[in-house]
Amino acid sequence: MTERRDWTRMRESIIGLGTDSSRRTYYPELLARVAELEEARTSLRRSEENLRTLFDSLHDAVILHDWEGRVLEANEAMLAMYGVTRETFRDYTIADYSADAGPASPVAHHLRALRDRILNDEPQVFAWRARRPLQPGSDFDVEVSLRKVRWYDQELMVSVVRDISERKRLEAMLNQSQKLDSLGQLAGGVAHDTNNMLGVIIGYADLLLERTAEQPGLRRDLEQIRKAALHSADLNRQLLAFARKQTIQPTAVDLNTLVEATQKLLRRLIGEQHALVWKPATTLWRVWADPSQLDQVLTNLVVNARDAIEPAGTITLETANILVDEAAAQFLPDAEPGEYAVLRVTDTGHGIPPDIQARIFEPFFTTKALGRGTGLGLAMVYGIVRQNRGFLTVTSAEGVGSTFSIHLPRHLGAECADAAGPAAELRGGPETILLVEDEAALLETGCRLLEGAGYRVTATPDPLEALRLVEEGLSPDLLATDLVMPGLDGQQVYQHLRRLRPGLRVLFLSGYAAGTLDLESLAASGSGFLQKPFSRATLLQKVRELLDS
Amino acid sequence: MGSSVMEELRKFVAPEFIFGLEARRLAGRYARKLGGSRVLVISDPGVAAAGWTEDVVANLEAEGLLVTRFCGVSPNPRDTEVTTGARLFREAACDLIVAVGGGSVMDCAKGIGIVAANGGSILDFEGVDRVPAPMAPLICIPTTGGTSADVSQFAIITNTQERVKIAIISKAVVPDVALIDPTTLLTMDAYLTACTGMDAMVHAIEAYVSNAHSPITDLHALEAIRLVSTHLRASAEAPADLELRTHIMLASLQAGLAFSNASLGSVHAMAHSLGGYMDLAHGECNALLLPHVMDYNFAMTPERFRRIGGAMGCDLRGLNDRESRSRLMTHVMALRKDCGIDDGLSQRGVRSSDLYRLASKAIEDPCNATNPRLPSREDLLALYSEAM
Repeated sequence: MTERRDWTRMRESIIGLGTDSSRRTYYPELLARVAELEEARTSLRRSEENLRTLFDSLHDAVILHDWEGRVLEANEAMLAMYGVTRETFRDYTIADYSADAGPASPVAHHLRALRDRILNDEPQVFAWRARRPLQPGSDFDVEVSLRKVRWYDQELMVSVVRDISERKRLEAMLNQSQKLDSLGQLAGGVAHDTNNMLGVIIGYADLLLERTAEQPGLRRDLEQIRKAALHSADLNRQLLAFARKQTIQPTAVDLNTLVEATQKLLRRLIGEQHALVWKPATTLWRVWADPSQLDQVLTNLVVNARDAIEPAGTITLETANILVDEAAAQFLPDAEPGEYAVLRVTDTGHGIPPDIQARIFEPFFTTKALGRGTGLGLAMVYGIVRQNRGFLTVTSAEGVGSTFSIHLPRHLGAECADAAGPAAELRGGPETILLVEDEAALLETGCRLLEGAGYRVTATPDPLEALRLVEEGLSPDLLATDLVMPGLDGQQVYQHLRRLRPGLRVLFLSGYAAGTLDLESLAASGSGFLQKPFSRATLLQKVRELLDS
Repeated sequence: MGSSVMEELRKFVAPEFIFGLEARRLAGRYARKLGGSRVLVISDPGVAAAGWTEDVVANLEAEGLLVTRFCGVSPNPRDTEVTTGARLFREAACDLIVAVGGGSVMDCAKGIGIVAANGGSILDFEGVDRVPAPMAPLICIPTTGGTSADVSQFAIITNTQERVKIAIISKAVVPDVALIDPTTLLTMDAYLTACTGMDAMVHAIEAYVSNAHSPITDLHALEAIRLVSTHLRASAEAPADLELRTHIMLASLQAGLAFSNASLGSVHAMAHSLGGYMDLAHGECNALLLPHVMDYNFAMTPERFRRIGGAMGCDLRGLNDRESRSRLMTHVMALRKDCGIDDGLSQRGVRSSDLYRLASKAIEDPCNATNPRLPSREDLLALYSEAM
């Protein structure tokens, strides 16, 4: 019977009455499949959108192009970097986006060479000079990584372009800073040694002048020697200023006051044919700087401005308060973030060509005619500003003019009393002076200058010997000592001796302070400082001043 | 078992078909309409040699269709051939099948369509309603008169491992279009004409006595019987007579419409087993087994057999059932013999020792389900013995 039932069901199926026997529609399956495809398409579109977002979020420009340099695709960074739009970027080829390295090596030639290398399947990374096709003259440095890709069944190249002009600029800025620093070190070292020799020359010339009052011929010659030495000493001072090795006596300075005080002099310097415009800021932060140095800076800049605007033009002096934030500091050579008072000197001159802008602060770099400039002016300006913890910027456009901006940090402390006394009379005295100087020639010069003025001088090249002499009973009224010496430095000698003789006065002599001297404490303790090389007059004047104080 | 429309629902399934001379020339147009672009044309070497394959290919190509040929179908198509054809279909990315040939070619084409759409082996789809996904559009151009695979929901494939034919019965294998062109019959020889003609006769008789027959199938079945009986002898003797050929082709179509919906009986169950084992022509197997199964079934539905006799032109008036049965047997045997199908199974290499195996396979065949008398294996064994 079971067999019978099975046959019955089979019969029903065969004659088309079974549950699965009817023709069925595949429409639901079709719809499901369509929905599935639709979903896949949506997911694909989203994925495409996401990738597009990533593509456009890249900071580097991405360019897809073929071997002929035709551009097929690019991201947003590319449009921004090359100054083109989504509608127009395909109008230019890779050659249009590149700067020729020179007439001898056109872009096409480079591209051909690259193609051969890329064919080996190695990704290539190289430096390139890029061009904005719509902005002539705005070529910029890039780093390109190039590789071969498949794109819609086509063999293309993908260039990832990184704008390295900023990096290059920072590198150049740093290089320039380092170069000026090392030049400064070199110049400072040379000037220091030369100073000692000039001290000897000037010292002996002064001695001889004393003794040849009745021999006018000899005297004239000596005067020439002395003048030449003094001129060299002046150059040395400028070198030291550039090297930031000048001894400075900073006080709180109002740049407005400083400019106003020198205006008359400046007007005379620049002459009738040029206009001088003065635009002081109504409120200006004070700065902590050496006023005489600032005078030098101002004079130098104004003279340069005048020379730049021949035959006629305008020089504008301007002051302002400026806040330099972290971001701005990145773009300003030598700048630290902070508050600054700014002194700007603007001329309407011929401007500085870009290729020499980087070199104008180097010592002995000059564009002026032979004999008209030493090449030390701007170097000195640079050194002085840096020594006073400021920085300077230059903007210049050829044919339009230049602006030099001196930034000096805002000073918030108290003013320092200006103690400019009347010029003292040149006279000697009977006091005892202990002279310590490791440079033998200079020791002898000093000894003779002081003895010539009537002082009793005990001289020694050895700081330890100086201590021994006092311990053994020598009782000097004044210690005149070199600052930098082997063994003990001048300050240490003074400190030792002061303990033995509390009333001892001191005069420090040095080619440069080199940061070893705390000038403010020096002023407070009634001590003195004399920059080498010094003349007989300045030495005697200073000594007398100290002994009388 | 009920057979009346008063007792049971009845269904009639038929593909769109075009009957008439030169109908095959519509192949290209229909292939285009069905959305085809790359066509797998399935045929066999005999049909190809007769020129029908290239005739249809040219027609398809003239419509701009891309044609891939598969002419490796043997008589009694094999599962391995289906596998090969399906691979070809996929490799050539075909989207439409055109079968040009007899029952073997069309059944193989159905098998290829099923496997191409569903994957796996054709043997996975054995049975009724076992094909899940529809196949690519199928256009059938029959070149023999009798198989009716061009309109049926049947596909018979040989399982080469088991040496048995499996039946796949599904609405999914009803072709989309049949282009029935009597012209193609002109190339058949006398014996093939006889075999296919007898095949159509068996289809019609089994459909008519099927326990699933219906008024609609009855009409087609009786007309098919009448047409074959009237024209087969003449057609086998004059193969070039196009009018006779057309009658036989029409008979085959009507028989096909009948059996595709009323199904068959034990003649086919036994013929499938025999054909799978001996690789004999299907029509020949049917012709050899028919008289014995009719004899076996007669008592179940004598009225229907009398009407069959009437349609065959066999005068049974005034005869009782026993006499009628005997007269009908004689009549069928005579027709068979007149067409050249003589002798029995033993002359065709079947041994007595094979019969048990044949019966064991035959009893599994779904065609038994609609036989008017439900056979046992022993019944089938006895029937094979009679046919020896």
